[in-house]
Parts: sequence; structure tokens; C-alpha cells
Amino acid sequence: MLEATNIRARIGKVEILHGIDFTAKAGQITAIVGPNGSGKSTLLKAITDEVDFTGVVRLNGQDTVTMHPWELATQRGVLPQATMLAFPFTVIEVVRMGLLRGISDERADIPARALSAVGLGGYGNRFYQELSGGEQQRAQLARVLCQVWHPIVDRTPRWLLLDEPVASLDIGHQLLVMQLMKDFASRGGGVVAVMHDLNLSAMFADQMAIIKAGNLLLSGTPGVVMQDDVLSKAYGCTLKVNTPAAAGQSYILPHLALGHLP
Amino acid sequence: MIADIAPPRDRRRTARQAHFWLAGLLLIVGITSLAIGASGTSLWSALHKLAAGHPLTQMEQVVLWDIRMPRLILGVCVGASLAVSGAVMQGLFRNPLADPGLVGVSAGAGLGAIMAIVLGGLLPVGVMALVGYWLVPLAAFLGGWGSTMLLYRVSTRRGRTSVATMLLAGIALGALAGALSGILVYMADDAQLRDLTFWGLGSLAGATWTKVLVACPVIVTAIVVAASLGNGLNGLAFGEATAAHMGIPVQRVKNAAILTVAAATGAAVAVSGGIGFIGIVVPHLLRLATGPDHQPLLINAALLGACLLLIADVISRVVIAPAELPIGIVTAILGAPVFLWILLRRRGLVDL
Ligand SMILES: Nc1ncnc2c1ncn2[C@@H]1O[C@H](COP(=O)(O)OP(=O)(O)O)[C@@H](O)[C@H]1O
Ligand SMILES: [Mg+2]
Repeated sequence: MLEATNIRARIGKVEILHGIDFTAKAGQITAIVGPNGSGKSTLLKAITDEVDFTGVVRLNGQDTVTMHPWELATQRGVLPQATMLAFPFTVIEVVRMGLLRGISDERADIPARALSAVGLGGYGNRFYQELSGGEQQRAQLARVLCQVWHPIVDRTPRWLLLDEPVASLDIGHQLLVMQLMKDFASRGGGVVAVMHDLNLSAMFADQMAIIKAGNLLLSGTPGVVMQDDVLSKAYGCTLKVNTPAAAGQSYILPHLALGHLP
Repeated sequence: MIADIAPPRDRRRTARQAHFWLAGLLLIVGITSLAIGASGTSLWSALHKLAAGHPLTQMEQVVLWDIRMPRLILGVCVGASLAVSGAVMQGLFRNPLADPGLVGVSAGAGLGAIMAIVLGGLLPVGVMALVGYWLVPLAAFLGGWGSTMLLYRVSTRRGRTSVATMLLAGIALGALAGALSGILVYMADDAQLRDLTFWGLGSLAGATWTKVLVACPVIVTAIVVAASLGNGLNGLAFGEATAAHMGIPVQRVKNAAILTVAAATGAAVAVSGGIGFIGIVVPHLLRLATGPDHQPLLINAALLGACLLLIADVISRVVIAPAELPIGIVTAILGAPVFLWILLRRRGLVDL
């Protein structure tokens, strides 16, 4: 269980989040959605103690402020929206960094397996800085996967906290990575992902939370959240959700501007 | 995916093998450094005598034991210290061009040394008697230490150090130290000016056992601490937030990095003046050869830094023998083109 209570976050003097309650369950994918600049990344950064915030964040029942960095690192892996690397590391060197606490023989093959899992099997000896944006994001995901390779350790779930893990990927790799997240969750781990794509979120997420202007607008299952009025209010434009009975999965078809709400 | 056609190129092995190659090189360069000198005293004949149980002449004892040996040890310590401080600073700032010279640490140490040379005469006789020869080294050390502390205060808020603020504050501090040094140089008399020039160009010529005892324990401690920061600096290459998520105690790594750099640079500047470029060139060459992993890099930097400084020292002693060039001139002539080459190669990348 990941519980964030009454989160207020400020960057500089500006308050970005105005008291958000957010929970995510292990064994599920929880998607955070919302328009650009609504505070999705900031919420994830507050949960991971990257920005100043007030409120309480509990990870598996423990207040994260009281936990040591290495203790947190064993329980959750965090993928930022983009990662700039200062030195010319190769891809496999980057991924191995997920095993910072030392590589035992038992774990030595994990980096290569993580790389294959994100579809970068042959890329180990390429320079990270020479990869495309989408490939870099997948290499970083492989690193984060290494860090929490087993979704459950000592009956405690481990967490993947991901900021736009698929935003810069092509559709094939989007599905690959979403499936990877689904697999991690189905084996008992917890996944929280900031998502850009509502259709992918509806397809894979168990829970969705919509953020608008620093507040939680609504959270619930995709069925609850993927409603015309909810999405139209969140994104400030008229949106039409379709749910064909055969697929049982909601999706939005892009329309030409149907007029902005006041 | 065309996976695994080429065998995986594992730079970790190369980097670890480099420990042994560089240690071997250091041994050879060290012996060469002992054997070469203006006096013509032969290391080999002295060793023969020792092996045969004959006593050394007074001359041999003085030249080998009191002149060349402390110079060798000081050279090893200073070279290692400059290269390791450079590597640590670059890791901390996430910038391969960072150097203690860049953030005002060297300038602060220099100001301390210049104050000691120019204003030392104003000190009460009792104090002078107490510190004696240690005045210049001590003042340089305090200057480097003080400027690092000030820098740290300016750029740290609520336990978080902003690298950008630190870099800019370092430039301001460096300029201030330079200006104050300028005023002092203006006040100096002719004899002091000669001392200042000599010190400013950098030299190992004044090496004595006293200097070895002042500087080397500090430098060795700093290098040992720095060598334990490899993982932390690797993590920092991903940015502070990501490093923390990897489980690295970021603030502690940064504190340790800053303190070791201050100690190592202060001690090195104190005993050898402004020897440039070792701190940038050595880590850069090693990164090209064996990759940026800080764990082997820091150890290799210490070894290669020591080798290069000894080689520069030998060159400085032989090119215009029996006189000698300040070693700072040699490292600048060898290092500046390499530095420019690094800049040219990086011109396309404008990120900090
Ligand atoms: N470093 C920063 N300084 C000032 N404002 C920021 C900073 N980072 C984000 N913001 C502001 O905070 C708000 C939320 O940003 P963010 O959480 O990144 O949005 P998103 O939902 O697109 O991830 C935006 O209005 C953005 O302008
Ligand atoms: Mg964002």
C-alpha cells in the first residue's frame, strides 16, 4: 500500500499541489493522468521526496521520511521523466547501476535480463548518450527494474514509480512496457505511473487518478474515470468516450475541435 | 534483435587491470626519478655499495636521501592528490571540465600562501618562532579550507547543495581571491616577488622531509576517503534525485567529496604551488581508456597522476640542467593542448 495524505507541495514560492490524497495498492497499476502542468510529476516527486512538501507519505505502512535512502531503494524504484547522464556510460553500465548494493552471483545476470525485457537485448555495449529518447527511457526503465527485480521480497511488495514510462515510445514498445508493468503488478508488486495516454491507461490500469490544477479531481477504476463529463472537465474540451460492449474497454477517438468548455 | 554477436565488451576488467599496469609504471618512473639529477650522483653505485656493505659518502646520502627521496614522495602525493581531487570534483559537478582550480579552492589556497609570504613578517616573533617553515604551507592549507567552507555555506540550503550555485559562487570566490592576491603582490618587495613568482609557477624543488610530513598524511587520508566515494559519484552522474532513489546517501557523499577535495588541494597547493592540468587531463584520459566508472577511476587517477607528475618533474630537471624549470610550466605545456583538445571534442555538447 502506498498512501499519500494531504500532500501540499511547493516549488519556490508557488504552491503546486493543494492538498492531494492519493493511494495505490500493491498488485495493481495506478495511473496518474491529467493535463500538462497539472502537477502529475510534482505529485510523484512529492511521493518520492524530491520536492518540498507537507503531508504524510506511507510506503508499505512506513512513513518514508523516517526511512534511510538504501532502505527506500530496496522497496521502490523511481523512473524520472527524462535522465541526463554526465559521463559516457554504456547501456549495460547504466542498467547495472540498479544493482548498486553489490552484485552477487545470483544477481549477476539480472541486468542483461532486464535489458531484454525492455527490448534492448543487443544494446548493452552502446553508449547511453547515443541512444534515441525512447531507447534511453527504456534503458533507464531496465535500470529501475533491476533495482526491484523481485516484486515481492519477504512478503513485502516492492514498487515501481514511473513518470511517463511510455510517452516517448512507439506503439509496439508502449505495449511491451505496459505489459511489463502489468506483469510486475500481477506478481504482487505495486506500479504507479504518470500517464499521458488515456487509452493506454484505460486498457492497462486498475485505478486512475485525475489531477487538475494541483487538485485530485477524481480517482477510481477506468470505468468510473473514463466518462465524457469527467474527462471534458479535466481537459477543458469536449471529449467523447466509447465503450464497445465486445471489448469492454473504454477509448477516446480524437475529434476535430468540438468547442472548448467555458 | 541481433543480440550477442560481439562478445560483451566489459570495461570493468580493463579498468581493474590498469591498476597493475599503472602501479608498475609508477615503480619504474619512481626509480628513474631517484636515479636522475643534476649532481651526477649515481643511484646504482650507491645501491652497489649498500649491497656490498660499504658506507655511502656524505654526498650520496644527502643527494639521495635528503633531496631526491622527499622530492619523489612529495611528487607521488601531490600528483595523486591533484588527479584525485579533479576526478572527485568532476563527479560532484557532473562535469568533466570541473577542477579545484575552477571553484576557487586553489585560488583560496593561493591567497593564503601569498598572505604568508608578503605579510608573514608582520606576525609577532613568538608566532613566527612557533610555525617557522610551516607558515606558507599552513596558510595555503587554511586558505583552501576556508574558501571551500565559505563556498559550501553559500551554495547549501536546507542540506541540499546546488551545483550551479556552487560553480558560480566558486567563480566569484576565485575572482575575489585573485584580486586580494593582486593587492598583496602590489605591496610586495623585490625579494618577496621572486618568492611569489617561484611559488606561483609550481615546483617540487623545495621538497624536504618536513614538507613530506606536513602534506602527505593529509593527502593520503583524503585519497583513501575519496576512493570510497566511487559508487556515490557514479550515482550522482544520474543527478541528485536519481542517486538518492538508488539508495545513495547523497548529502553525505557530497559532504565527503567537498571535504576531501579541500584537504587534498589545500595540502598539494601548499607544498607545490600552482601545478595545473593534472586534475583535468588524468581523469579524462582514464575515462577514454577504461570508462567513467568512478570506483576503478579514482584509484587509477591516483596512480596515473603520480606517474605524470613525476615524469613532468624529471623533464623539468633535465631540459635546462643544471638549472631547472618550475614543474608548473612543464605540466602547462603538456596539459594545455590536451585540455584544448577536450574542449574542441566537446564543442557540440553544450550541456553543463
Ligand atoms: N522547477 C520548477 N519551477 C517552477 N515551476 C515549476 C517547476 N517544475 C514544475 N513547475 C510548475 O508546476 C506545475 C506542475 O508541473 P508538473 O508537475 O511537472 O506538471 P505535469 O503534470 O505536466 O507533470 C506546472 O505549472 C509547472 O509550470
Ligand atoms: Mg510531467
